[in-house]
Amino acid sequence: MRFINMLLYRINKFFGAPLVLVAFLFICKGMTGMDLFAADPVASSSPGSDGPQDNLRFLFAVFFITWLAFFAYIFFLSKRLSEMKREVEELRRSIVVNSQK
Amino acid sequence: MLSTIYLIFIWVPTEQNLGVSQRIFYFHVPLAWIGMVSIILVGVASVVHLISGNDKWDALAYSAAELGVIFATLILVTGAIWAKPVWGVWWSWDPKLTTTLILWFIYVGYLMVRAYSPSGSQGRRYASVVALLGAIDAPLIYLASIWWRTAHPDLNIGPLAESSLDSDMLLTFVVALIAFTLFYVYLLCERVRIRRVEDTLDEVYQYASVSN
Repeated sequence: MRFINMLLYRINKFFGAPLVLVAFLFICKGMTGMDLFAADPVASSSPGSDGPQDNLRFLFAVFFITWLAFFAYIFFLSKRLSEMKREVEELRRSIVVNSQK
Repeated sequence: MLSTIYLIFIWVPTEQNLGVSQRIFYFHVPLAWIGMVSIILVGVASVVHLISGNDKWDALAYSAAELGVIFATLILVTGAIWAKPVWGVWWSWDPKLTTTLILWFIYVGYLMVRAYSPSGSQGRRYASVVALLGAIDAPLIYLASIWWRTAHPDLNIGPLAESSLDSDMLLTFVVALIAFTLFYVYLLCERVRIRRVEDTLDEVYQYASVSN
């Protein structure tokens, strides 16, 4: 558990913001069919059919968003945990300093 | 959880009318179930805390509310994504959707009352009232499609179900429900543990400020 928390913390620290940005772009692209980097995003979107078998992108979006939210929450928990460890360490240090006086 | 993903994406047959988008059901309904159970848990834990004064119950209520916000947000988002291919719109002011949105506001309201109340005990009391409102809203969400004829599909799970699922779909749904519930319980246990440490740290800071 500790290893997982450390790993998640490191990923969050260095790759958190770019990952969220890339995820957002992929979701936009998946759900709208638009190429956000095209000169004219609206014109580049393909019309496609809206038949019942053509809804895979919606299923993908649900799957992706659900797990993104869960991982974001686990990141939040691991961050809070490391903050608390720091606070405990500071308290321990201040107790040692006070006891030496 | 991996077996759930396998069942949802590969094993379960595709529904004929709704197509692939029906598979969203196996995410959306377990999330909705947990969202409703969570607010009832917040209400019960808040009341028990008020009666007993035991801080463990308060930590449980707060943690369940925080997780409830995540799940309620996911209910609304996954519901909107499912509504688009089926209804043609992202959102409609359907009774079931509206009562779920109210649930989301109740969760957020609970956390805001806890965050901005002048004193801890006062905030807990006020937040308990908000949690009880949420506990009343949960059965309303479940019964909305019976009491009001809505665009939302009929109930096909639970004692008041009006239609039933195919056996393969039911199995996939049950596995998904168990997996998401276990995941919720795991996250809740972790959050309660962290909340208890936060409370202890607050007590230490208060003690230090008083003794200084």
